[in-house]
Amino acid sequence: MRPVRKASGNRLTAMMQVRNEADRYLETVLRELSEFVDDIVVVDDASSDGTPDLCRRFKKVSNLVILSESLFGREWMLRSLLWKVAVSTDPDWLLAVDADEVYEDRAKERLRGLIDQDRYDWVGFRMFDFWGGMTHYREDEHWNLHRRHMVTLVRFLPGYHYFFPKMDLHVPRIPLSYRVLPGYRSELRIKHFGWVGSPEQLRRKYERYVALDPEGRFGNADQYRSILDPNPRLVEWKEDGP
Amino acid sequence: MNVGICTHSFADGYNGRVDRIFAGGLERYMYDFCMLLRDLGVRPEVHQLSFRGAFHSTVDGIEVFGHACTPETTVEVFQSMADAVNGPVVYASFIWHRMRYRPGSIGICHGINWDRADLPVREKNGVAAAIQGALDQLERIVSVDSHFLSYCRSVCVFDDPGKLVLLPNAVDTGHFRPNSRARRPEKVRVLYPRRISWERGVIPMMVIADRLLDRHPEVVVEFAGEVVDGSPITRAFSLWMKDHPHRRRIEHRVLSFDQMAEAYQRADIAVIPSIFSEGTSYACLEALSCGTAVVAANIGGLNDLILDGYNGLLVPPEPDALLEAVERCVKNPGLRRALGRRGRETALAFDRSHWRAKWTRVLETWLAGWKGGAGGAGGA
Amino acid sequence: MYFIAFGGESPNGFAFTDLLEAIPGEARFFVGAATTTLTPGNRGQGAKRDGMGSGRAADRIPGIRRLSMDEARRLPPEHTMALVIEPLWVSAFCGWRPKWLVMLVPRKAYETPVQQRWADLVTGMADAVLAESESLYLQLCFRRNGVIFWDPYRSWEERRQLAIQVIETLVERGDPERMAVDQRHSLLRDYEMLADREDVKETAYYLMALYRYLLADSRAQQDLLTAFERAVEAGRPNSLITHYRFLSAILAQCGRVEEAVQAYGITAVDERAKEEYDRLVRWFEEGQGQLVRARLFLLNDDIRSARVTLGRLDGEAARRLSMEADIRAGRLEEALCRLTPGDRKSRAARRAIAVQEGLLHWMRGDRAEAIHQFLRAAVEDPGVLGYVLEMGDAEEILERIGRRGGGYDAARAQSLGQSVDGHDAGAQ
Repeated sequence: MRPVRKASGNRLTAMMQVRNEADRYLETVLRELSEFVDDIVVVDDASSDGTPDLCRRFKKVSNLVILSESLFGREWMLRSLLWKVAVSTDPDWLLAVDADEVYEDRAKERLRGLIDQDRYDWVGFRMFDFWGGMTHYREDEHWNLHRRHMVTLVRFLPGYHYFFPKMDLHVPRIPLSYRVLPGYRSELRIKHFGWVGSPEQLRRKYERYVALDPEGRFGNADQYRSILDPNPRLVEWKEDGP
Repeated sequence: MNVGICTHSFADGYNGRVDRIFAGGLERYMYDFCMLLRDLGVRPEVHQLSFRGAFHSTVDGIEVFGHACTPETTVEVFQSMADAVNGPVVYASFIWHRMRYRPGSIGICHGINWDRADLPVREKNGVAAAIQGALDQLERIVSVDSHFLSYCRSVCVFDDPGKLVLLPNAVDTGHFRPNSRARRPEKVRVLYPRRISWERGVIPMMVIADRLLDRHPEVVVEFAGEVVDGSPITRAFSLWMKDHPHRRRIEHRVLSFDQMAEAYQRADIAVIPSIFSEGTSYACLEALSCGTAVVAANIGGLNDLILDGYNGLLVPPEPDALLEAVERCVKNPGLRRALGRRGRETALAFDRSHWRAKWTRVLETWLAGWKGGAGGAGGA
Repeated sequence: MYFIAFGGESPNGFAFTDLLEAIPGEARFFVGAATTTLTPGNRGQGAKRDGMGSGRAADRIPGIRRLSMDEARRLPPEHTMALVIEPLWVSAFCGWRPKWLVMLVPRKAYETPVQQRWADLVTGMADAVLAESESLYLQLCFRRNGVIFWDPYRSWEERRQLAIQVIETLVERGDPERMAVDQRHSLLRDYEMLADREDVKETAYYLMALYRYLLADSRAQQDLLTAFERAVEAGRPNSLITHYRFLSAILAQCGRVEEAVQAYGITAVDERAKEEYDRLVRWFEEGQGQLVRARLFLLNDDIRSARVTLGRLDGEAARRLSMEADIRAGRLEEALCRLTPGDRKSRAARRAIAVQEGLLHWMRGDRAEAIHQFLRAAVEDPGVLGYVLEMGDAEEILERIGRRGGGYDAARAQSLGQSVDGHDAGAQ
């Protein structure tokens, strides 16, 4: 019988959902991931820019599912599908990554230590929203994700009851059922490049969110508006920072 | 000159009766010690802890100062009691606590009370550090049994072997003496001459009493010792006695010092079933002195008094072993007589006169130092 | 036949009044206090009961006759049914054992540890158990057969019928389990009707899972998972243990043993549970599936299923589990019969056995031997003295109940005693 929790020899699988990421950070992300995970599972949400071809260039992408019709706007279905595909590879641990997220260097070294133990089943990291470029991150009332921990790394427990909240937007990337399992809040950091673009790119992103969620039901309307702030508070990123 | 004696208990603060001495072994020792000091021409003053507020009283001509403390402040108050003394100080208890002692003082160890196999190692290490501190700071430590000497020599480091003085407890062999006419031939009276307390072994005593009374209709069991009102052990003891199938052959009395001699004289067997924390037990010495056959647990200072099979029976502190030994005595009057005879001889070696003589030598040397101004800082 | 109610109050303060009323007037006896002392607490409770249809405030059971414990013991046991609400009276039976013993578990928690201990022991030895609170009822259903919910929300007439049915079933068939099963079906239907209500969904599904499990219905799994999702969404951090772990019992009941072990393993987040899980895995790999099921039942407090499963097993591990199950079921005699000399090897084990032997002697009315055994254990662990003190507490509580109300009519008691001795006091 396979033990529910293994303290050594754990296999780490990254899972991502992507859509038209070929010209952005996907290549960087896949290259970085290839350095420290064992496999990568990708669900392509009907990209039209050759994203699947880019994925195929990476040997560690062991599973690539291409949707012909986008599930954008029905996010819980997309998340559930990605989960289903990922766990079908019989992983020990899953790392839920977005196509614009990169783990800081020391995280890559320490990740094995975080999964080769039998005391906790999830790990939270602090995610920093880079803004305007690759040197600073944003920190203010609406942009402070890095003060909390976001769970992106989870142990796969076969047979456990997994479920996602049935929401259209901002569905958590890992099942809710992890909430009641023991976890660990790591001090390690994730760099999020989703907001790095030009003012014009930010405006387009803002308009997309508002169109999808005009009343701020799934997210926060004030936060949507703050995307357009011409003078956001920026803090310099330090590679060996706390 | 005044000599201050610091102790945790002397006048009966437990029951709010500070005009009398609490009836325990430690308190009796302190009383005899005060009398000896007085005979040597110095004035003893006793400083003790008090959980019911400060007090000042005079008991049998001895001045007693109660220093207010709470369960959390005992050690702190204990070490500050010496500050109230204008003269040399004797620390008569609390040696197992880490403390600051006044230089040039004497300490007394009444026996090892940390001799429990199951005491956590952290606490045992704490005691070792406390004893090392006492050896470093005190001029001399007088011990009532040989075990404390071995403990210090094996656990602590000190350069003066003469720092430790073995001075066993004593018995008044004139007062406690055999009286074979007090015994009733058709009965076998088994005496438990101790407080109704856990460490003194009242529970194994109750356990063996059940079986003795079942199996031997001639046996009467007498408990002669104080109870602490309201304590769980006292209540359990009362519940055990109440409705006991052999209730008529169980006796419980609280006896005065004078009545105790009669209790030993009418008893055929005295049982000392201590579980731990035993020095040179007065009860054991008194039973020996009255020629009563003794069955003792091999705990602490009892091992200094009893040679198994010679002047008593010495067994592990467990009900089965105690029961077997007591039954041997119940069934064998010849054995009882032989043990009793040698017990009396043993007691004569522990007569009070020896104790006074030895203490006198220790005190005269020490006090001479003080009178000559060579005492510690407190004498300056 | 004689029916004796053993109460901690006077008959009027007795919580299961309807049950007494269902008994023929001439056969009703009562051991307890003479008059009720009205405290704000029991006044409130009485009013609540009246509001629910039991109907009458004072003197609700006319003609009931009060007995002393000594008089009760003189009734012929083969014709007597004891209805026990104050379990400490059973500690005073002293060897007397009526043919039928029904434990009545009141809604109100017992005030002292010794009452709770005796309630556990008497619910273990009783022929049937009636419980006034649903959560206690469910706990007891997991412990033994023959447990009936004395539902305070039913009408007076319904409860009267239930009382008559329980008594008749006991006298005629000896075992009310069939009746208990019917009642569980009916309670399950009640919760099925609530299942769609958002405000009570989690509770309704959780209880449905419990009832289905008790009825060996495999749909318990789906109901439990629905309740679990709700609990997680509501942010109850402990729901892994309070909800999810029960899945291991459900799967074990269905014979899906490997999945059951893994379900338990997922919830094994503390050291003790991890050790349990490792042992379950080892047993499973050794092919001891039934032993694994029994252990999982015990880990989920389903002592009843554990005892049934263990009853079919041999071997040392099964014997040890059986002892644990018997003790937790309040079946000390059976537990101690399973002892072997090897069990007494360690001092800690000897102490634990002495405590259980003490309890057994206490149950049999051998006070002196009970204290002796407790004292043996207390030589090394003074904490065990607590059992001796509990015996004292029990004696004091019974004395206090007996004294309450004072005016005890000795002459009347004597004449009653005579008529009881002559076997003409009750309807047989």
